[in-house]
Amino acid sequence: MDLESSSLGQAVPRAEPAGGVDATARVLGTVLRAGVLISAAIILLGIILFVHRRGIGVNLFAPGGLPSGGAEDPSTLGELLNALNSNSHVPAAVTDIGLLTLMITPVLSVIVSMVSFARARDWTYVAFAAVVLCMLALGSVLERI
Amino acid sequence: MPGEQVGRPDLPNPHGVFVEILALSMFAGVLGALLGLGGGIIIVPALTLLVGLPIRYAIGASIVSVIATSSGAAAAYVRGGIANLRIAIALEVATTTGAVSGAFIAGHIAVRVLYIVFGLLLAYSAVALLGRVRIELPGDVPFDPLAGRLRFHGDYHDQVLHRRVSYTATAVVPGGLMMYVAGLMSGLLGIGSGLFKVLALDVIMRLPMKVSTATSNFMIGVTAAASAGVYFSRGDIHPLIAAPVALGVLAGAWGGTHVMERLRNTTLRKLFVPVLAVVSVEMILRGLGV
Repeated sequence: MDLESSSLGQAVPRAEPAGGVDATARVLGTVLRAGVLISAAIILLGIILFVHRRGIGVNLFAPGGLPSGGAEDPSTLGELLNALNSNSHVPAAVTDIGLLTLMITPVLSVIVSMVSFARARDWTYVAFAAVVLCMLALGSVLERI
Repeated sequence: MPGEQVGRPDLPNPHGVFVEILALSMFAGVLGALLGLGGGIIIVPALTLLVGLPIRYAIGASIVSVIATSSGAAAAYVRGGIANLRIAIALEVATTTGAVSGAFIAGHIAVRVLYIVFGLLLAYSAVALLGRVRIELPGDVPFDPLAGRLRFHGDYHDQVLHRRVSYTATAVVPGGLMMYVAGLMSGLLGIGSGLFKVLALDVIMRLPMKVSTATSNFMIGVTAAASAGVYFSRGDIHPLIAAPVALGVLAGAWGGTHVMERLRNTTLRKLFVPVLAVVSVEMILRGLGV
């Protein structure tokens, strides 16, 4: 808590005062870290599968190595499931799942903040987070039209 | 593999491309984590000009880059107490509203004019920031009752100054307006909104530079997540390009957070100003069609 204890520099855990934001920060930090590590692991797995499928020293970017659209590059949930089932397009599907996990992490962080602020009965900030989530939803609907 | 050949036969050394993208992305991740940017300003030109990839994949990759920088850096900054959550969430209201209005008016507005307007705004900010380069901490700022009501204050442990630094935001409404512009920009142009967020937090709301870049880092991911789904369903996020970008940026951002905490606020500003200047020139040139 006091400054002297942290004069060693980095990575000295500090006791934080109890309160809504600090509790939120801890949970949020954990969620973000989990999202990052899990997505990185899945993406790495996808790349390993790509290399495994095409051999070591693979030329991923050679002609034919950069598929566009269709089953080889699933871009909807249906295509993703088909790709996983069909076996031949598993590497792309696994990589995409990793990328999607990464992409929902920020949204998850807003949801977690909202829950955390609600537990601290900080209704102004619950409302802020709710508006942000609505705007995110509205944005994704708008751009599809 | 017959059919579906969208490869790049003209590529001089395809084997190295994967590693090349990985390395470029790591650099973008470090810079993004230091300065509160998403790395799109590096990823898009690097992938198109240096690697020679099609622009749509480069833009898709830059969205992934923004989210990876944001999540990777924020994981450290939120836990370390450098990013201010309240300020981030409250101002996200302005940025996401801006992004949605940007999506509304996109197509009804001349994009080239926007590039020039935003480019000039950034150029002006770069000049304005030059006068503040030597300021380590903002000190006492004018009292803003709204900042008090929203509890826009906090403190963090500064590893360079070896003490806890307390701060309070000021000029919440102008800062919020700048955040709205940042959102508009990401909705309309999809690039550079991190720069505006840092400017809003540092220049207008007068937060310490480290708090500004860390808080911006947390915010940019949320803004980008709004449009990520669209790019993904359009097929612009290519697994073989986005994967090395994601991994490279995550690693770079993770490393960048460790560096950032050991830098002076003034050092961060000295890095930020030239980036600002380069991007403003880039945008103005694009607006002029050069």
